Amino acid sequence: MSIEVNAQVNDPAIDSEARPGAPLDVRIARREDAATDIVALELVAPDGRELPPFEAGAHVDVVVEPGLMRQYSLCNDPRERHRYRLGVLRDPASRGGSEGVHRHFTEGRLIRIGQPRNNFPLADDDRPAVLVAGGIGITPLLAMAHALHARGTPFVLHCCARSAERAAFTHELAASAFAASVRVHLDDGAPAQRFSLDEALADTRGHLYVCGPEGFIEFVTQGAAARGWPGERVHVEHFKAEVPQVGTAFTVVAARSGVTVDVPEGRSVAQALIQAGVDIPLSCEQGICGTCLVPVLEGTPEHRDEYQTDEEKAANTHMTPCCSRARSARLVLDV
Amino acid sequence: MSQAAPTLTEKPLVRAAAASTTDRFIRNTWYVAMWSADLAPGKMVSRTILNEPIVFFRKEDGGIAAMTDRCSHRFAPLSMGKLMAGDRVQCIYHGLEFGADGQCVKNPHGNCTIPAAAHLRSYTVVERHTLLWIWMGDKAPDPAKIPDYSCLDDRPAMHITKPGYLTVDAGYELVVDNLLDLSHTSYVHAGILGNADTVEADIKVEQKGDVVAVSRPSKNADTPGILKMMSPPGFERGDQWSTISWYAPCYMILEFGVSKPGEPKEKGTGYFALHLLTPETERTTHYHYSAARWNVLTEGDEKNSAIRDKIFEMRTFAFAEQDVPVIEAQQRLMDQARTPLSPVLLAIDAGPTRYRRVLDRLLSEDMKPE
Repeated sequence: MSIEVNAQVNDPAIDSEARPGAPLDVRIARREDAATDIVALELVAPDGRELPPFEAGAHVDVVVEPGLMRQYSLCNDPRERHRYRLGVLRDPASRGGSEGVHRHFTEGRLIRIGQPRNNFPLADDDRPAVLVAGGIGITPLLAMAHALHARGTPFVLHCCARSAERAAFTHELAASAFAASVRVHLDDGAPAQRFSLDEALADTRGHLYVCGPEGFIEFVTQGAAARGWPGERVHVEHFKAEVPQVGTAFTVVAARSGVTVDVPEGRSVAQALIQAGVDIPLSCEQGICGTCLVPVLEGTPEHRDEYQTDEEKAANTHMTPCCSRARSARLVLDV
Repeated sequence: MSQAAPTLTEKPLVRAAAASTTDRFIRNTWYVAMWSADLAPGKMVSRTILNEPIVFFRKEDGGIAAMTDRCSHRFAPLSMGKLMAGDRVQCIYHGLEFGADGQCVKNPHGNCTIPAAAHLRSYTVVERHTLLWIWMGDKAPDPAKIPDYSCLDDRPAMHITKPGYLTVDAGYELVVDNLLDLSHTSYVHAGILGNADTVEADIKVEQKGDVVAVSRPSKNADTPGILKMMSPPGFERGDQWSTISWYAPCYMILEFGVSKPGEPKEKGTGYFALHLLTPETERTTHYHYSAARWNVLTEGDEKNSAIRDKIFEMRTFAFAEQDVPVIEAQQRLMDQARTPLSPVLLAIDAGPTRYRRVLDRLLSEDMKPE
């Protein structure tokens, strides 16, 4: 039987995916500031040869340093074979990913990346497209805009950003061949230019592509559902925060240690307590293993762990300080 | 000492195996002893379960006998002996005979007295879902608690793979860890059961009572080889559905399938991957597996029979040649470590963590007297 089984595995139809794509060593040919806290990197083959092709919506794994890998979308025109272009936002809560890119990815440096992979492809029919980008979510949609323009599919690209300084690639969008299809919406701009779900999603006959922070995606996709967009024509790509420590600041009291600390956005309860000298044993640092679980004496945690069951979370008697935060302004922990 | 000698039945069965105080097995639960097909009439089969050697045979009335596979006299395995008329087993060594209930019924030596201590412990076995289930606890067995593997009963044989069986030189918990975290398919089983696309699936863990379910749906991804093989044309890329549920202490059912991008699961096709683990010892495991196709979209008996056999081959290869070597190596390194190891867990371990928590609680409950 083993001979037969081995024959099966050598079947080219199956084996074609068996070996993950070989990594690519590329050179950073150009680095420029695309907006506040956003750098655009242009990657080329060191020997000047063509790079493997990619589709609009694709991303690559980037080795930021040994053992630290991040995924970034390719934002240039997919017809280009001489370069890959990335846009990288510096995440204030970075654990080294985007921070490492911003600090160490200088022009001329050689870096290692994976083959392009696409989890966010364009549909291959001719329906018009609505592209909605929140912040750094512009990157895959920019490549899509190039591809849609090239194949003559009508589209509108909505770029939402907090302010003009934080809106990436707007100058080159304005200068592009499809500038007439681009709408820029700034949170701090005039009311008339703000992003409106009613306007952007009025025509439900096309495809909707959304990329950005989690809350933004939810806002747009719920808006689409409410307006009758069928789910199969709503496409999303999530940008995961490196550390989900987004949230308001609060105070934590370590009752047994007699220590009170402030926990600002971007910092975990465990980090704040450890820095104040309270010993919090950590292992996974992401709410999986339960090593750091502590009793809650007062206040209401905002549970972000997977360790506790829904019932345990509802009871609010324990929390995982590595990742969970607070709903109340103050948390008192039995540590 | 003037009392009359008590009759045998009033004597405690002192040789009945007591639960070991050192192992970490839940005893008051059903374990799979073997596939029904593995116990032919007139034959004895020996299998060690929870460290206990047990001999199984089919009784003349069709029921299943199971008792300690170790003669109380000099510890010869009864399974080496002879199965005789009247559901009796004769020990190969000195001819003691035992009934299907473990009672010693014949001592051919001396004055032929049968000491009460000669009786062996017997176990309840239920045949269900083409499997033999054994109850080894002290509490009353409840057949209603046998896990629901009715997908092995309710569809044509053409859509169910043949009974699979492997032994693994590792504790069953390591196999459950493997199955409840299917992110490993992208690496260990690249091309067959997973691929580069499927590693990025978002993981959702749901716990209902003591059942832990881990879902890893992938949208518009390359279809893994095994699903491609059982799909009609048009499923080369698709939305993959993958939900594996764990039922205490060692049962898993994976619902695995693919639909065309954007289409509901009901329009897709796939299979239930069935995994049934039985602890042989703390360090070794009986691994029973099968697969039952759902929403079959391919046509023709010949083709579907060929697909069924291919599913079996691919899965057997994946388990025996890909998973088992890794899991056995894990166990060896864990045994070799001078201090107990504590794994550094990742996002993919939410499911394994949950099931271990349930298992720990059930273990402590199991040890409490009724």
